[in-house]
Amino acid sequence: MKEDVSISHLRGWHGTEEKDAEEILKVNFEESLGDTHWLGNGVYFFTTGVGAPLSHALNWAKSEANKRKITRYAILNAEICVNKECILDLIENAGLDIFNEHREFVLRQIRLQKKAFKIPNEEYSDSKVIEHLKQKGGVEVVVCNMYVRFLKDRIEKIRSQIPNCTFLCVSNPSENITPDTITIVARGNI
Amino acid sequence: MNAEIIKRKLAEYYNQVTPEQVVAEFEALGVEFVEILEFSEIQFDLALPLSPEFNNGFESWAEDFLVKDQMAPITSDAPKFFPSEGAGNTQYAMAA
Repeated sequence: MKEDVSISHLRGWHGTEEKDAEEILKVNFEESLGDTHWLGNGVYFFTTGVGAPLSHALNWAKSEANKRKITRYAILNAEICVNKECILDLIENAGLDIFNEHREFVLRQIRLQKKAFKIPNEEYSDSKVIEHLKQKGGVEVVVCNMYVRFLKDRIEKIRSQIPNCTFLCVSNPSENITPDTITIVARGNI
Repeated sequence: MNAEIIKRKLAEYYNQVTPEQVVAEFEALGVEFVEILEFSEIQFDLALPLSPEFNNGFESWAEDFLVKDQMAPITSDAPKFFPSEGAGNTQYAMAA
């Protein structure tokens, strides 16, 4: 069978609580919605790029477990199949240009209405611009190198602007994540 | 990524949307706004004056820092470092 070259097959690793992982195996991932997501609403995966995604997912699960008082973690692996024209790659300069041009455009329109964003944490204003860009540009997957503050950095009060991992943010998981490919690749006690 | 297709979709959007609609779309995303008392269109124009004037300290530093004979003004057939930037910029290309 001829491979469809318009489709990208991406691999992602997702660290979570074990009981949530078991549920995901049954019903697929669900979009995480909220105001404080780095790349807008979606399912977040570590992927190949900066550092080791499996390790990052494990670190993430343990870091969040510390906050949420959970005792068992699991790491899920899944294949994301998405049309290339629906991927916004913020690792490439072309993707960053698209984002920055869109931000300039929308902020200018908002200024014309004599308004400005009122967002308690300015860090997350990008999230809303990306969410808007996804809707208007037909984007379903965003790829981005980011700095994530894992538990060790939180304890040592370290912050950085240099990316330490690569993320995929996947919208519309029922369409873009193949349920058969979701597996638990690691689990254990925190 | 297929940047051209995303850009085309966004260009269609930019051509038909109004400022009121953009505000409404962000409100639908849960964004709250503050009113700006006095609006002034700020020109984020990257264009520099053709002959920028630096203070003597900077010129002195630049003399040391730049290797002038490796830089030449862009000509029509020379590669540009920043092809997307508008006219009026001081652009340079490496001399062959």
